[in-house]
Amino acid sequence: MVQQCHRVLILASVGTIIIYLALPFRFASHYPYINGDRIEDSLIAQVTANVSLQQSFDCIYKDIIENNRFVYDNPLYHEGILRGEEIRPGGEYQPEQCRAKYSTAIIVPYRQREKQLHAFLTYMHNYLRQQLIHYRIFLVEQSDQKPFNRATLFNIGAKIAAEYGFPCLVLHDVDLFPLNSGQMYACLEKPRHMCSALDHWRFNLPYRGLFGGVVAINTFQFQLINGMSNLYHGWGGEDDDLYERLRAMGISICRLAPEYSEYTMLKHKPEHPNENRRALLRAATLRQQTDGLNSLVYKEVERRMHSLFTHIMVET
Amino acid sequence: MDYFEAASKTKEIQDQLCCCQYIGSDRKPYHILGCCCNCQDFDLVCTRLVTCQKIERKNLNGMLIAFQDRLRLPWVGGAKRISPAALAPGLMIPLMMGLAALNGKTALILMLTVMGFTVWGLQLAERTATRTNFFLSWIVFSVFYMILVFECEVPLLELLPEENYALIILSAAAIYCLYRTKKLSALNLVTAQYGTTPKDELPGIAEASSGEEQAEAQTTLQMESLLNDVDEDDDDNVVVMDLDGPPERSGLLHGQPNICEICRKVTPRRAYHCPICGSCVKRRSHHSFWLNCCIGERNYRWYIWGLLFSELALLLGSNLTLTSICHPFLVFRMLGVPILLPDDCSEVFEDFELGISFVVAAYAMLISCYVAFLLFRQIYVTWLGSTLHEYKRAPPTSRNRIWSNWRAIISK
Repeated sequence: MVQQCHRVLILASVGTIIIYLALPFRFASHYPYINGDRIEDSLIAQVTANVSLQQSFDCIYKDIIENNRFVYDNPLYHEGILRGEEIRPGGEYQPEQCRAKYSTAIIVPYRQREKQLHAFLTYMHNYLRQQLIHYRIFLVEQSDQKPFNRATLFNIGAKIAAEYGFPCLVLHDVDLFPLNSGQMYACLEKPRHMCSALDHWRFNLPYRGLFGGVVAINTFQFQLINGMSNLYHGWGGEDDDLYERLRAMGISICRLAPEYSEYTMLKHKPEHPNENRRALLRAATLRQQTDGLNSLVYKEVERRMHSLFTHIMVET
Repeated sequence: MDYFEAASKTKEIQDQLCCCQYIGSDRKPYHILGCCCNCQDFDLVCTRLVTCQKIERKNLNGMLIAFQDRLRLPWVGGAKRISPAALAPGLMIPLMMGLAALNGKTALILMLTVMGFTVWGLQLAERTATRTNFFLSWIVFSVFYMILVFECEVPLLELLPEENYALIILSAAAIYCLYRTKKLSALNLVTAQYGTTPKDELPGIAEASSGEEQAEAQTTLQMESLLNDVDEDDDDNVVVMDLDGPPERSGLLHGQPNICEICRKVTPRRAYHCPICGSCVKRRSHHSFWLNCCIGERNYRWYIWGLLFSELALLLGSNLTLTSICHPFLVFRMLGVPILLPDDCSEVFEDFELGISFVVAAYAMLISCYVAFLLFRQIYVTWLGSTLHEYKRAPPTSRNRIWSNWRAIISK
């Protein structure tokens, strides 16, 4: 009798431990995604006013999406800019052989990452032109010595991109690179988390609320949620804040299939985390109407049209 | 009939003990809480120490034996004795892992030290025919620490639930198979049913008690297996207790008789004496120091399956760990699960948590290489239609004969 009680106790303990070890919330999440055959139908065809109408037919994007392939290991994409004369001053490109259906402003927050920036511009210009979209790269540099405020730089870039008439914004980190050619840099009906398969996280998504790195969002939606919070100085929290804002407005996000969403991250030193990010995140929705695009305070030091990007230097 | 009665009596006594009680060396029941009471040798040694008298070696040995006898762990059916050899790995492994996680050089030095120490220890145990729990305890603590580091230090948010389930299933299967291997090892021993010489002619008390203890454990396990019908799959292999009839007749019925000069028993064919177990083992393959038991007829398949599942679990665990803490690259995708390999581990020693994870993963890969060697050796020997014991004892001409057979086939 006593022996059976001991045996039951041992079995219960072992079972409890195994159940705890197997709990799924401790691991990466599977997420719903848009398959390759539905991507083109999901994209919103919108261009800026200055896109030329001289071409006689629209660009075909079906082949680009269907022939998705791994291009990151192609050395031609990294060595130098191919056919640099196609890129206009300010880092703008528009295909000549056909009429682009999508216009995208790629906004890159930046400070003191020269090596990453050089690699980024070389690769992205070679990468994006094969997608036959109209795009422009906006580099928003924080030129003061305060803690890096990534969200404010996005707000500034979004405001300036809206002045240029871009309907679609891609909020892009300078150290993230798409691996596959089919990842279209265009907007869908919903905001899109583009780097949901990042090599830093074993190409898995740690949690479904992750919304950082590379995000594609309509300019209208970005203005609707009042942009991003300006209070996150230092590393961390502003991406989750953006996700909370979208949820508060009833806007859900979407992701493409993992084979389209694979990104790699260049190595760099970790930033200092923002100690206040958890407290700020708890009150995210309360501040939404007062903290964002409508409370954006900055001083534009300089705006320069480089050959590969539009350089905007600001003091926050 | 004596064995049956002795087993029944032992079982009755064990049922009466609670988990904190045990039977001491003088055959009386004791309680763990009384471990500091009534130690005459200890009192005597202390008295002589205080009064500056000479301490008798007999008293010193008695004191040490009493200490070891009273170091016990509460267990079902009575407290179990803990030997120092079983506790040592519990301290050595975390110390070595912690030192190895400091930087790459200490990691390399300590891995080589572990390999050298293991080889030396195995050779020493084999040379002196020592039956020790040290290696079994090493396995138990290694598994425990690997699981602990995996659950506490590896960033689990980067792993998929499917990968975790696969690792749990493989680990549980490996542990269960090895546990069954050890449990069934007692059934391999050749018992009195094949006949034995009179007891008064046995060479020594220790050897006799060892043999009797093995026979007693085997009888108990056989009765349990028959009563509980645990071995349904092995119905054909169930050994029927045939205590009646003359010994010669039993030997003839079971096949060609052999005589073990050490046990002074008639043994069945392909049964060999194990000097460490102190008994003859049916279809003996080898004595596994890691499991502290012989691998033979009844537990050979469990052993092979245990090695296979261990290999898979170790490889999967180290792959998941390394691709989490290092930079991975994608080999391919299978059913939505990315299959990765690590390609850049140059930064793992900048953080102690990453370092300890890397060291444990490297340790798991080291063990998996050894397990792979054991597995391939067993598969090769089985493919030859032999056992490891027979293969090692085969004369060189016999091995050349195998090669000549192959050459004859090729030439024809």
